[in-house]
Amino acid sequence: MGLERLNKKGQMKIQQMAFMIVAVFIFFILAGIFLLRISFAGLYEDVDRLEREQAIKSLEVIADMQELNCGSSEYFCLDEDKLRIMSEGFSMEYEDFWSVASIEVRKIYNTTREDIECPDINCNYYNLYDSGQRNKETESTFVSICKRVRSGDLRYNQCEIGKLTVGRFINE
Amino acid sequence: MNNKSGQHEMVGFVLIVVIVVIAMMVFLVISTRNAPESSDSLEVSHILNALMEQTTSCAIVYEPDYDNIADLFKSCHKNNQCTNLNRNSCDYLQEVLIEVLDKAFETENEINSYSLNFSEVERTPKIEISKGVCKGEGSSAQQLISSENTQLLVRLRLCKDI
Repeated sequence: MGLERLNKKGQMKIQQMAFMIVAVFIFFILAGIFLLRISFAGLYEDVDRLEREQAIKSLEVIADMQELNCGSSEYFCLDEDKLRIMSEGFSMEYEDFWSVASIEVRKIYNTTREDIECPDINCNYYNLYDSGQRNKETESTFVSICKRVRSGDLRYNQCEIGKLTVGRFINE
Repeated sequence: MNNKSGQHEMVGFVLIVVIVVIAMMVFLVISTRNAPESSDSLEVSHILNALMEQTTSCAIVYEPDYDNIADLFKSCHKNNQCTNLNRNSCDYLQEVLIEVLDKAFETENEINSYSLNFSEVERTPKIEISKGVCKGEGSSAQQLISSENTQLLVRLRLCKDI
């Protein structure tokens, strides 16, 4: 009788211990999941940021082209006179050269919100190249759009803030 | 005897709970502590570059020698007047910055707020502009402008919806 009672007490103890171990184990698993979620959230943000920065860097190739940029020392600066020439159909000569689906430039200050395609009065939008591809993804960045302006006998550079948008082909 | 082992178990249990709570608190403090903002964002840096080149209508000496925004920061630091507009360069600069930034972010739906500070390095800001409440991910960039022997700092910070 006494031995049986001792056995039962021992079983109870083992059970208690097992429950405790399981509880502690579950607790640590939950804590681990919580920590992993926090650290992975940061990782996803980093991946997103790096992808965006890589896309912007690819725009640098377009903005730095001699056919579009203001001068060798200027960074992300587009020459408006060159934009005008390229948007008048000249850029189609480059069809085999562009490796993108489309190139557009918009002025964003001192202008209307609606696109008025150049050449036109008070135009704010240059459609430099359009391959006709509908299945594309666009990336954009802010640029300076500069031109030489004449005022009497003096000439000066007038720059405006604008946006360069490049469409990239999407493989199906 | 039984009482003593019960007390031992309780002490052990309390110890485990205390250790686990301390560990959790340490992890929580580490995870919730704001990570130092990453170095200059390329995206914001491009906006800042384009902003600096924007030509304004302010001519300090004669027309058409108009200041761009970078020059206007220098003029503001020297407390110059826009002679053609008969206005203080700092007041005009502040007005132009708000106009340009509002226009620039009008089309950027994911940007919910921005702030721009202009100061001498390690001094209190001379111009502070902000719009919206920062929700989500923040990114920033800064640019140094040399004006005579002084370094001027312009810092732009944007917040984007995640």
